[in-house]
Amino acid sequence: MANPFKEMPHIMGLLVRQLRLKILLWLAGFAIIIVATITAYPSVYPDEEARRGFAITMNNPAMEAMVGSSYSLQDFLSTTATLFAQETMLFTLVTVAVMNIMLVSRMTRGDEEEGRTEYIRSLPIGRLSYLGAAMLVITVVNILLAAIIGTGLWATDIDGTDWQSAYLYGSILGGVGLVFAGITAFLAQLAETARGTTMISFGVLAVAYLVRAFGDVSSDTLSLISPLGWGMRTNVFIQNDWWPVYSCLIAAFILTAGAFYLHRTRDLDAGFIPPKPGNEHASIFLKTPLGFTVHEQRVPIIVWAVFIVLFSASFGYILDDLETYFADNPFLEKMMQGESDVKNQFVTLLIAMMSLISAVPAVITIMALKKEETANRIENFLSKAISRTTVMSNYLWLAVITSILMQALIALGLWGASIAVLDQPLDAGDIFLAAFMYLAAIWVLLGLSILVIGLVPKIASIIWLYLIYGFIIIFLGDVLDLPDWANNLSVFETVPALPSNAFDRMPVILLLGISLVTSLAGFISYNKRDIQG
Amino acid sequence: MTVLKTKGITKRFGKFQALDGIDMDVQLGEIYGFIGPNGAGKSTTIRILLGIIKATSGKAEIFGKDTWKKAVSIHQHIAYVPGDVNIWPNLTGGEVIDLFLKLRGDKNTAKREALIRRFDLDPTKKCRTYSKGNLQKVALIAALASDADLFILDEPTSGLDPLMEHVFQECVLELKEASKSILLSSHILSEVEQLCDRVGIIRRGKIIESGTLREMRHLTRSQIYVETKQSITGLDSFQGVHNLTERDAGISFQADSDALDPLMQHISQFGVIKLESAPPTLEDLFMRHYQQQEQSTPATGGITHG
Repeated sequence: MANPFKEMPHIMGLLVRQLRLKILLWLAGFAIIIVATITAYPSVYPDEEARRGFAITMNNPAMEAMVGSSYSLQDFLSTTATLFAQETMLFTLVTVAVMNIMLVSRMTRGDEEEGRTEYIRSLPIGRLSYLGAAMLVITVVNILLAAIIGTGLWATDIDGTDWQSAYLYGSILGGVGLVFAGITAFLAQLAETARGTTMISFGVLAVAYLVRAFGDVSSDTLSLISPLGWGMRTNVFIQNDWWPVYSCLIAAFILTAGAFYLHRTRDLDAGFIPPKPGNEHASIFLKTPLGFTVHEQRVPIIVWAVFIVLFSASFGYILDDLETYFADNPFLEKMMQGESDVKNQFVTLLIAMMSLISAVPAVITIMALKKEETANRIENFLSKAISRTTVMSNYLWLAVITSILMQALIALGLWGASIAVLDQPLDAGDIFLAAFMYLAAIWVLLGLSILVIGLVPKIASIIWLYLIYGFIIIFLGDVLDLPDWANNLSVFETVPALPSNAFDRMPVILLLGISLVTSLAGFISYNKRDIQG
Repeated sequence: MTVLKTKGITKRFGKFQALDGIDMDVQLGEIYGFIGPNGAGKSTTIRILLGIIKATSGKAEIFGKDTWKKAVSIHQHIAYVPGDVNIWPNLTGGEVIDLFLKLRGDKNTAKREALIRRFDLDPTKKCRTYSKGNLQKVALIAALASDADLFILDEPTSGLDPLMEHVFQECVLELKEASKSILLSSHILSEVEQLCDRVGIIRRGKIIESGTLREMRHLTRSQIYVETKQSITGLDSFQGVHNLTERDAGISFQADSDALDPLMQHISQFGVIKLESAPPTLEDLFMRHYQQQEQSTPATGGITHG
């Protein structure tokens, strides 16, 4: 039989050539942020007292659900690096998983859907060469990630970063990355589109996160099912257990082998879900421009809605444990100035974090306008009796509605779960108000998106960088000890953080003003410029 | 009545001069053929006509209205078929046709059904599964089923099979009978030759020739083949004779239209046995324009001996 991997190295070259900038940006981003973050820890937690405080914040069910199971106080006192690992590992693992999902989905189903794979397959190459090359490329990316992060951590020479620990930290990132690369490659065989592949993979990632959250709070075995649960179980910087890394490699290998098997048996361009005939006629709803926009965006919106409500409900569910935990520790309760305050602080932080996440579907909706233009589909509307203002405002309205929906779901999830588990549930009014407060920030994001799309659509992705900046600030703002202006550059930091802080009118009015002005400017320039393509 | 008129449109993309003064006009009830090679500026011109991009200078009007400023109101009476049909992979062909008809405000479902049958399209399939030709059918049906006054068709048949190409030509002629106006951009020259009343040839962002096929032919040469009893002399230096070659038992050459009369008189001296004359095809006109311009030889070039 002919070599199924014939010419694979050449295809690897081709893939790298297409994705080298993305890969470079991802790796550089990880290296810079991780090294910058760990470097800040010794000054933020200089003495035992600060570390004890840190341990108290981390060593409770709510935080364990959010950032993963905790080290013991002893571990926190013995090396600085444990604090860093505790606070950043889980979110870094999630980000690494996102990178793997995006890159693999693009290299497998993405290229196949666009017809590039077919073209390559018409050449004398092996049947598995394309998938094989994609998997090799992603393996190299994860190995590089492990090596760069390991070397970076080791080079900082922070207390606890001996070479074995540093490389274990890098390796578990790469290992979990490979697992998600495997999952995506496998799902790419089942789904018929790159979008479907990405969506289902993100779904798996969300489930992995939630399973681990419940597991870390209640049952260790449950956490072991989720690859994200393996991360903290390396006990990196303390015992340095390598078995989670080996588990990752085995899981990745099995998943990849499964992907190869399915790839070999299926037809090109086919999935494993048989196509059924669609509608012969468009529904009345679909035939209006706004209805059409809703129709195009509904799947991601629904998926995100489910995801958001599950997330906030899960965190709401944990409030009970949080309450019990503090009730059992009168000493702690006193230290944190009363139990309800801790609860409020937790809820405040949660709403802030969830609001950043829920900005994503709203921005996706707006960015669909740019995507339609790049795909030369916007002229289908503009060549009819439909103005650019109408087209753009359809996307804007839908994004605004999406943002309101998502914020309502955050509040609903938290509040609903709190009714179920708490004797004294959260106040619905407070929670909804707190969530809706962030609409001001999300709408600034939408206004900026409109502005960029109206003015220079080429650089529209800059909005995503801005959102990532928001994430970095909320998670690492305190640690990085940036000046106030740098923190406030993320609009999410300027929103009055209810319920634990007081309401302040000025920033909200200011944010609404900015969103209005930027949208208006965006609309004007969109009406003036050439449509690209 | 003039339906569409442009005057000296230019378009620059950065340093690249895509259009360099386009003058054209389409009259009511006329099929205007717009031909030129890839990259000559056909689609750019059409995008300006649709108000999707803005001309750097010059004037473009449809129904007497500025194509950039009044795009929306113009589009109520226009149907457009793009060269590359980009539609949504997750919708079916039927859904896209309905959507487009609705967006233009048309309600004629009988026409839609008839066209779907004529073009033999399965409207229940998702667009991602359609071939290039089927995608073009979707766009054509959506346009032809509409009640527009002006049809702008940008290479609408480049993916159609010969049967469908034929259906398309019938449809276009029906539109003409209903006194609709059509701007047909194409590089299938036989199609333009059969359908179009007038033709404009674009080259590097300029219209270099326009008029009816008859007028254009008049300016150019006929292909002539003669066999004579005695061999012909003196043709080499005859004014208006080109591309002289010996073929079979006779000679073949091209002759300028205004040289035909003296030429016939000259040839008849040698005892004509056989005379064949073919009007230049559009392809000849086209090739002549391009080859001549590419080689930058003068328009009344010398004789080529075969």
